[in-house]
Amino acid sequence: MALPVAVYLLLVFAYPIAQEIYLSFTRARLLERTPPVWVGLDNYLSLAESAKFWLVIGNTLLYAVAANAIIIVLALGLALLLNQAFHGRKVARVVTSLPWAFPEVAAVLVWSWMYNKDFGVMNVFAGWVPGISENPNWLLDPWTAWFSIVLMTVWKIFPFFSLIILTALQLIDKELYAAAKIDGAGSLQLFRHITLPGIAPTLGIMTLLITIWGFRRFPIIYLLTGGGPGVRTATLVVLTYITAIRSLNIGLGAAMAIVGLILSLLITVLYVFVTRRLGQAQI
Amino acid sequence: MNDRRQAGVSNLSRRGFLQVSAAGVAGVTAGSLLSGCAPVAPGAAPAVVSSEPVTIKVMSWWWVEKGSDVALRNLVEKFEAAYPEIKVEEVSFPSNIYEDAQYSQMAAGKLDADVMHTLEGTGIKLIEGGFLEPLNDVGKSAGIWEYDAITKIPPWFWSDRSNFDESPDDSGDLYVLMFNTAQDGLIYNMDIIEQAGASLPETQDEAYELAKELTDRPNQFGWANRHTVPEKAGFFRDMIPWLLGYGGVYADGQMPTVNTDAMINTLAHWRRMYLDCFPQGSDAATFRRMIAEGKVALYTDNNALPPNFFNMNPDSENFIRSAALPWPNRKGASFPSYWAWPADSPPEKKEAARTFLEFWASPDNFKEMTWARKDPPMIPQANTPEYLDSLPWMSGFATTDAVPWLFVMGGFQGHVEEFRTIVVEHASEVVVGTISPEEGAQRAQQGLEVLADQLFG
Repeated sequence: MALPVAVYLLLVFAYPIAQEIYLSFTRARLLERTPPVWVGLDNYLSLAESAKFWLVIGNTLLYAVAANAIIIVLALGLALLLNQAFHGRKVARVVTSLPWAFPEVAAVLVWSWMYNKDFGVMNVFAGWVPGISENPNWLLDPWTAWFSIVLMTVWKIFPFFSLIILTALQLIDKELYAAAKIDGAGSLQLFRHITLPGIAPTLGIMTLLITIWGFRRFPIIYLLTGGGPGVRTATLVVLTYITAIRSLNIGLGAAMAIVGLILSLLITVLYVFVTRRLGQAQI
Repeated sequence: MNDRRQAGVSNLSRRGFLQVSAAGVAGVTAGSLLSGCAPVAPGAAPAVVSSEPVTIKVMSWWWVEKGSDVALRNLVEKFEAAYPEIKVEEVSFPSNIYEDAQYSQMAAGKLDADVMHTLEGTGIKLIEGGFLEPLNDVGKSAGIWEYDAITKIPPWFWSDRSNFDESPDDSGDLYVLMFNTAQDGLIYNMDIIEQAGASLPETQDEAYELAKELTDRPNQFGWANRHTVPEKAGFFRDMIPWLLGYGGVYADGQMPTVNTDAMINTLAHWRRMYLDCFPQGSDAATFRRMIAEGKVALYTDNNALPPNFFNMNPDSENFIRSAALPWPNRKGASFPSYWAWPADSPPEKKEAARTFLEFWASPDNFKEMTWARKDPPMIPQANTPEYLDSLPWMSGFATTDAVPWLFVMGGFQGHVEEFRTIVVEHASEVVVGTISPEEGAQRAQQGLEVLADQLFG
């Protein structure tokens, strides 16, 4: 039984990763007939010396943190709301999950129109903000471009996150709430001592997942801004694509991909470490 | 750049321009090509080996380009009626991502096509990667071997590409068939210019001043060109005539030349046009629609664009006209497009694909496609006075001193994608003002010198 699994893992995971690691130590160009040339750590050293690369690493972390923080807060709020008994709750659950179900590329095209400086509907909302007298250049000014990317990411991702939290909320034993209320607990205390511990494992694993997904999220950023202007809105996966596929420098691109893999692994290790420490503290 | 490279169509009449409409690609002398190449009967098609129905995939942006889509589907319908044993399947990508799609497929090692359209930069990669089959026999048996459609094809599409300055040798292999060529000109809205009482600009500064005066955001824009990173290929391409107008090129041999005054001037010009004239952030699809609707006054692009506007809005045929490029040397680029024959199809599909190519290239069908798309005629059969007189919007393009655009790339002709990625990365920062034109040019130069070192040692 283990053999097919082992073969599958070797073919689908181990071999491509090994190949990627090998390429990251070579000078290799896509679409050229010359074989890769072993260059040792050259690709990694050139990344370490590249201001552009560090800017992009910063972008990646900023994007992951900013988008995730907003997603978690909004998703939690929405899940708590949808967990309440109210008329039309089922319809509300369906409607709020629509952005997640919408095809990503089509959604980006619609959003890029909404962000048009002259004709986009987002200008109407911007006009409501005190101090904004001109239409923002949504996708070309670096800061508004980041805002636009994060906003669309949140819109796309948080419904899914909130559905998962809603599921976790519904698994909490209702009798716990009843008992706590008899003991005089208020809403905040109920949330802090029953709800939050009840959904904490789900929140933790989902936060880890959306962080890793955030590292590799491509269509929203690439289609909205192409990583530009310059590389000011490029994340690591976008720069990897530009380097390996657009600039055809597959060796350097492979090194970037390996750095991305290491970053994801580090976050996973950090998550496991923190989870264990918290678990021990609770014991 | 030698004279033959940039020999173009300056001082030609409109009809003269159309008659040598591969203009930008001029410079490639034809004589040596022609000796001993007797064409077989036009339209003659080889027998398809298999009796089973064969489906061939035809990859083109025409499938999704208004006007061209109908022209191509009509041709395919006629083809399938003539060859019921062959079916055509459409493979389409819009023109703005067409080259991206071909690059991605090349990177994956397999093209999803048995016949396809290709453009210059990608074409070279396709040949170098061994993805294409020679098309000599197709051009000869279709009966177009001695026409502009063949003789104006530049040397880099022939098998002996060791010296781009030399004329191709007819003993070598030809890897593409040209279906049209387009060259730059100034496209303008006649109504807007007349209502403003303005005259057409003759210098870059006049162009900027007029465009600024005609800009009334968001109702009317003085100028539109591509300027965003998601449209990298278009951004890079749209700067070419301006770079030529300022007297520059992107590279001289294997040395990038993007830190020259010409490039700095081009970047500075893009910055001021962005600030005062462009519909900021709008992509080509959006601003071309605006041009067709009469909301943009001026625009530099090639002669393939007006028919698109007419398809979007038939009324635009009354107000869209072309004029000389607004700089003294009148230099602009020419952009041929080609059919190519992928090498890795199975034999029965390859033969069917050859049949399709010969059918398309036969003079009658070639003419029909030329007229349907309002292309400049590449073969004499399409070059009738009635046809030429039906294109009043074409005259301005004839004044351009056309340079085949790949010559702008110097020795980087086979590395356009890598090159433009670096240029646009920095040009996009200049446009939005995060760095100066001088700094952008210098940074791009540094990046390109590293690239040159990697490519050429």
